Amino acid sequence: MTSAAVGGQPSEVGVDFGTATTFVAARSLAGPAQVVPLGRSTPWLPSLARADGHAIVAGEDADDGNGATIRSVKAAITQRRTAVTGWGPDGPVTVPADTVVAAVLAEAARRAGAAGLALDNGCPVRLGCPVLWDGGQRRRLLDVAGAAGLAVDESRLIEEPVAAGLAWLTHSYLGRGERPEGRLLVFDMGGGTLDIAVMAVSAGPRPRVAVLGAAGSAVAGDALDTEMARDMAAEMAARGVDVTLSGRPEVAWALLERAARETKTRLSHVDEHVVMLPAPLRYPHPVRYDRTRLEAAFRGQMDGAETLALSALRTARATRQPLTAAELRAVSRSSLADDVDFVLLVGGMSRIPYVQRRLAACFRRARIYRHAGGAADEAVVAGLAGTGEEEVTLHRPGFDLVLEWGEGRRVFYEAYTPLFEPWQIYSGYSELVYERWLRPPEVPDRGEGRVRAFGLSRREVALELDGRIGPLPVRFCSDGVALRLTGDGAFELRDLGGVTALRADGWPMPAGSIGGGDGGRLVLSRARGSPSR
Amino acid sequence: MRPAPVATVAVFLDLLREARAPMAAGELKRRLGALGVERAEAAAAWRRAQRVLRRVARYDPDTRTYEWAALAPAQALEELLRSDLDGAERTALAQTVRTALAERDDLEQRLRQAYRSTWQAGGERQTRTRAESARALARVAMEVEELAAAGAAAWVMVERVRTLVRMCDLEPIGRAGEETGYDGARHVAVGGPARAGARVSVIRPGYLWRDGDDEVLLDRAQVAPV
Repeated sequence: MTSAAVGGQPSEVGVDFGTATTFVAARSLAGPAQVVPLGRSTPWLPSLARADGHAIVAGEDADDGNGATIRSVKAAITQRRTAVTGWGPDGPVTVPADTVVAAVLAEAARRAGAAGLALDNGCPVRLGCPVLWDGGQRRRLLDVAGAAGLAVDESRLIEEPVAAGLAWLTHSYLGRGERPEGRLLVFDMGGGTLDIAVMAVSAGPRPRVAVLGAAGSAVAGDALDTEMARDMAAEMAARGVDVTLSGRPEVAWALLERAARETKTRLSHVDEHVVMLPAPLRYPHPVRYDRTRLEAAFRGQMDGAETLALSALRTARATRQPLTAAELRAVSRSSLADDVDFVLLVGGMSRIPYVQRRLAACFRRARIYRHAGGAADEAVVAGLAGTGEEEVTLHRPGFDLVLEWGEGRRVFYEAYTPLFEPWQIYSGYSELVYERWLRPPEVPDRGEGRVRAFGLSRREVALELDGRIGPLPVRFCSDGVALRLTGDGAFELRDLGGVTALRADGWPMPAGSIGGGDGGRLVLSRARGSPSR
Repeated sequence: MRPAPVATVAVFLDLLREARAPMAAGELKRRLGALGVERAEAAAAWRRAQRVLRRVARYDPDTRTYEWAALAPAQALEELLRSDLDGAERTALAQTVRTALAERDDLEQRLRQAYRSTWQAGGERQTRTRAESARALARVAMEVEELAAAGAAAWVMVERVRTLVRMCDLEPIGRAGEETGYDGARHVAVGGPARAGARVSVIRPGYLWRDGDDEVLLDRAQVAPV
């Protein structure tokens, strides 16, 4: 493997491209991950950009008021938008989102190079992505990162909560001399998003992570700022000052949100913060904001976050054992909470004592960890700059399954598609499986075809059954053909020959293309009583 | 005179280790004889040991020779779990496994020490840096509190604070409450973009830090349109 060098030491390199900040870290063989300073006065690069004619300026200079500043460009991939709009003194400016993402990543690489860590020389890097992104979103980030000069492939695209979990496992084993083994829930609440993942983990020289379930939401720290700002506005209104009637309501509201954000941060350290609102708000009275008031504003949001965590735990149950929706619905919240052995808090919002207290009360049996060896907002990049020796399996296939015949071709399953949606658990009749029927005339009604697997880079993933490697044969009939997949690796094909029940030992991480090698392999075994194919 | 050894797998392995070369069965039996073992006894011992030797020594079927090879710990453990071994063989195999585990523990310990020392060194560096910043901040806090208790006017406190931060090579950008022309390089407009030169009022000043000849923008001044 090609290695980057920090001070002449070989290292693994991670790039955490976040909604607000981008981190780069490298790891020497026996040391912890070291964050490479990218910002002018911060360890991170602000994930900001500004269109400057045909060029894009990324980083701190993008916010210098000389044009339209573009924020949260990562959300464009999450929301499948192709363009992003920034607001400047001359009005809105719209540019292609991928160009902006590439500019931010290229700037991060340039600054890492200036700090002694060259990333543009083919050195493989590991890149993070949200756990809920599907194959198309991941492929898009890989393509853009490639265009930005980063050597990254699908095997090096690690889900962010998984990366945080890996950092925690490595630090537990090497830093604390422990070998935790059990169920880990990563709770990653930042400004813009909340990401939750449930994993079966074990620490050791080769940390092992099996993702069992995940959930995400766009309601996070910024939503709390808004709620607190509303609360302050209500207090002002009670004394006769209505911010909506201000000469510049958007400025008044921004000033309130700014005060709320600051209050939120201060209340992680003190019990009460006295807010003196700035002069343009024309409210000369002190606003006394204490933790009780913050918790009241935050309660509803944390209720939702807990429900989301329990939803991820329900998915995790179905990943490990075949359960019907009815069976899963019958599992109580406390029983689900008892599945968790460890909780890892990641992201800026995890500093709030109320978050820690709520999660400790919800997951009574679990040990709560607030750091994975470094700052809460550096856990993801620390895990990305891992040992490279980790074993990760997923709760859904990380490759496309394609049905082919003659000149025809249909996608049976698209990489990273959830095998079932959370709503299915609450619906009346759903089986918690992925099932897709392809029927004539979409496919032939006679003759033979085959199922093949392809990674995000479109390289073929070898399917191995009964010691033989090759496509899985399919015989068409007038009823069509069907594919069923479950989180625990059940793989069922239905065709003219009946039902062929196969099983994979979990869904492996895709193989990479950097440094050659094949596209990886999925080993299937025949479930008992299943006919030969 | 030394008593003749009881010919076990361990004895044959010792012979192979000492020879440092491949040996056929005949040569092994001859060397056993040289140690005082009766010919018939050596032949019987060979018949007993041959099957195990093929597993634990390096056997070449073409030349029908055996050569000593260090047993991998996992292989030694597998052998140890077999029931057809005598006490001496078990002891030798157990030692192989014990040594491997001790080496593994040692390696793990050294890896952990390397990790911890790098981590602690980083932590200590950070602690020193944070302590320096905290000390500077503490001086400001101490002085402000003293001034407040003495009934100092707000402008006196601001001037004192500015003096103290200047001692840390910090240079303020603007003054809270003053009106100025918007400059994107030094100001950030709260509530939306502003045009260069537009009249704004400073809500909170920003700061530059001078590090030798370098100038680091720590925070822009926050401004709102007038």
